[in-house]
Amino acid sequence: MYQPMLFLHWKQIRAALLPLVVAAFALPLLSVQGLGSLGSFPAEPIGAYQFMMNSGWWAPVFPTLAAVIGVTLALSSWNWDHQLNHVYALSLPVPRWRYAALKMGAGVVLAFVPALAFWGGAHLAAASVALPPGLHAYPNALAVRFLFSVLVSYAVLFAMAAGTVRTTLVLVTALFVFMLVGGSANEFLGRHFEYFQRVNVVEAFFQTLVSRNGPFEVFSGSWLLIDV
Amino acid sequence: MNSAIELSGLGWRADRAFSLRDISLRVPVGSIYGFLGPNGSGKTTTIRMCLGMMKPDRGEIRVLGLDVPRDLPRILAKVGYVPERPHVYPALTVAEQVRYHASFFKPWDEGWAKELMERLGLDPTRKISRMSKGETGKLLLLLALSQRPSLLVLDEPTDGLDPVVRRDVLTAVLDYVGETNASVLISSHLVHELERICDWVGVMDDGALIAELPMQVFKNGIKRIKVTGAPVEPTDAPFTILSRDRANGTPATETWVVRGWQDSMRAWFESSGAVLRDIVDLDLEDGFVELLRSSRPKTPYRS
Amino acid sequence: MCRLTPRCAALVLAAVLAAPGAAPAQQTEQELIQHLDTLVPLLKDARRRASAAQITARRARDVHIPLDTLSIGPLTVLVVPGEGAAAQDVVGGVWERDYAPWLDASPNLAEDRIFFQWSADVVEYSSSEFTVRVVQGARWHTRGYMETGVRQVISQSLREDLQRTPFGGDWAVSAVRPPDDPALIYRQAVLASSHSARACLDGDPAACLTAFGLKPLDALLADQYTPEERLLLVRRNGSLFARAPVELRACVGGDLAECDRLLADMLGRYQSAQNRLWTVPFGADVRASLLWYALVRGGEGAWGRLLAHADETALAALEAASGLTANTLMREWRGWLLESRPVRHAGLGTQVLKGSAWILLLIALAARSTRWRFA
Repeated sequence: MYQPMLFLHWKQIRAALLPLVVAAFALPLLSVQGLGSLGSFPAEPIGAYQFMMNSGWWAPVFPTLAAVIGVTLALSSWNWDHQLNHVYALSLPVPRWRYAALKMGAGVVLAFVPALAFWGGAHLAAASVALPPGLHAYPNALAVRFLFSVLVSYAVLFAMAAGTVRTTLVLVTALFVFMLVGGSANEFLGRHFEYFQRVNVVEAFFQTLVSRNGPFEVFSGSWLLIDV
Repeated sequence: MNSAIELSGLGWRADRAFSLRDISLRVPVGSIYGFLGPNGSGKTTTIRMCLGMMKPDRGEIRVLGLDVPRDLPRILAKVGYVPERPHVYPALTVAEQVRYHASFFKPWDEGWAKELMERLGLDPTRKISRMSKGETGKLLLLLALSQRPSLLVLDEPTDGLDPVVRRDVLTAVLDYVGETNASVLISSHLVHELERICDWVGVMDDGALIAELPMQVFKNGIKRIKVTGAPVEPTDAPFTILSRDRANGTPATETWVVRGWQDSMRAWFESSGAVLRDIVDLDLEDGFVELLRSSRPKTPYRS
Repeated sequence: MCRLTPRCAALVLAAVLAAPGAAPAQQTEQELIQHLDTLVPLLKDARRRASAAQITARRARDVHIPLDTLSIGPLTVLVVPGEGAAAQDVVGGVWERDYAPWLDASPNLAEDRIFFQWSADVVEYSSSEFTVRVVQGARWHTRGYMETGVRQVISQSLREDLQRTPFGGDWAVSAVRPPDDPALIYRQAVLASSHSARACLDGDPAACLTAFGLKPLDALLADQYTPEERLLLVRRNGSLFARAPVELRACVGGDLAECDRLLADMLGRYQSAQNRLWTVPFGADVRASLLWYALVRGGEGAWGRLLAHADETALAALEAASGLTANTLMREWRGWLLESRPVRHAGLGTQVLKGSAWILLLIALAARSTRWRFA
């Protein structure tokens, strides 16, 4: 049962996943492009500063890619069922929870494909440059962070998409409304309560998502392939 | 277990315009049950409730002696379902869809699936999104039959198919039933199609089951009769008058469509002072139409 | 800081007029630049005077509130009644842990007052009798925040001890306190764009002295940077060379000789080491970490020894404070620095565990996916 489910998900996502896998492999390599040897004059001499600057420039690209892969996996996971009004899926003789778990499992396995590509790309990138003293490459740690970032964003979107369209709409609308009116509400409350003068609830909410113990905490660490 | 499907007191309300009202229905084991009704009468909704895709507001549903929704996985393992619209993954090929479907059903008959594929002329390498409606219909039937179900639920399986494909589909169903004695619930608004194959018939209209009876009784029991000098209010008639029209401008002669007719009832006309002029057998479609007409709110007397 | 006030403008004008050799009507551009250069120290002096005047004016506005006085080591701490215990705890803790082991006597610290307040109602306090250094925090501020405040004010007093010495002037450090984040020091040291800094990290103590700017000034720049790195130095500090745009363009375009000429011209203009500090590969925070290391390593009396040698070279003062030779000090400091290397993905394991828990929770939520799809 699991294998066909995996095949189904692969079939659904392969067109979108292949370029993402290529990107996951290529981006770490691109991130060290031109750092391998002294650049031709008048390029700046390659020192730790340049490595870090370069690494820092690429750092937001990796989590963005991870999030895009996670979202793509999640949406593709339920896409066909939503299109078919779930009629076919519901006519299959499996409990709903098991069906959802099988789907989730298929996505988890597929998430390893871009993560492995990223790991390979990061290792190649790290091996292709001579690092100045004090700097280190972190291909393994970064690949683990990448994988879990894909998985977490996949799981969040998957859980949302597993609900009915109405549930998903309610959630998304609530979030949107919160973002829109949260700031004004905070300002209003701030006039009456000291707490709200110090704390911006919208900011705090998003902070909570990415900070300690939040679901997106894994996004909040270092994304530098080359770091001290 | 005497009933393949048993619904009792099923009720569900979508909105002001549509609701299912107190549906009690029984599909006997081994029967082919024709589920008739015009479009929008509630056939698909009832079927979806039987398969646990919709939750009724009230009432009980038992399929193959098991409870819905509690025993759904067990029920669905024994039910072959062909939905009204092709609900299969369009990006898969026929072979891929068959393989995917087979993985969920233990008694999957691989040999028969291949045989059916050949018999129905399906190309295993063909992508579903590129198939015609008829081909998709055949694929759905193949999927439903190859899992060796005890109950086949076919929701408008031949709707929109050309006559040749329609015949292929129905033949395949009948062959399967002949071989396995499976029960079949087949919904359609194409009445004449069911006339040849069904043992039982249930008629839905506007969210209610307005008739449920053996096909033979349904066919034979509905007659069009011509009556002269009929009483204004025939309250003690031993049959049900479905409709009553004046015949072609002769005020004294009326055309009645009646249900539950038997020859012994001729005597009633003599006792009520009326004269029975003619009795015509109606086919299923005429009977179905008259039945629907009788169940709907009365329109002014037609002349 | 002298803001653009009438008082400030008058001071600047006075400084300009008082400058020797007021500019004649017709001068070449070069002469004008040279003349303006001579005005810079005067302008700085004027600013300093203005600032001192402001401070005096502020001190004149004494605020008289009832305060308790605590003595912690050489520190005199003023607190509003009721906060004595908290002050004793926080200030005493910082003193004992960070300063007591090596800080014997500090002229400024003994005279200054620390006004400590850690409560909701903030009170303003100032005095004209002595310098008041304020450590203030609301009740919700953490203990760590208050401790950092205490370190900052002690550091301010200690820096004033050094201010008028060659050590403080020529080898200025950002603070005399333990580095807030040693990992940041490591990062700054690693990121210094200088081959001498890299050699220092690789274990060459002599290169460390060069990277710290602790060697004699002659030809220091050539030791600190390769020609390409000197180009980078000019490029990163381009605004300093704005008066020579043609030469700057030539340098940035790859003319290394032009870069050296620019640097020599710039540094030759100011002979004091203070004006060359921007070229020292290891910045003020890294230098402060070395000073801190030397003091802690020197132990009892280290501060006194540093002050006693503060009129000599910076290296001599550091050697005296630490009680170590230059090479040993550099080697040990490097060891400390390498130990301070941040573990970049330290929390990753925990994050992965927590992420897995979230994923499991989300799977559980997804598994509750309803089969009632039609309403």
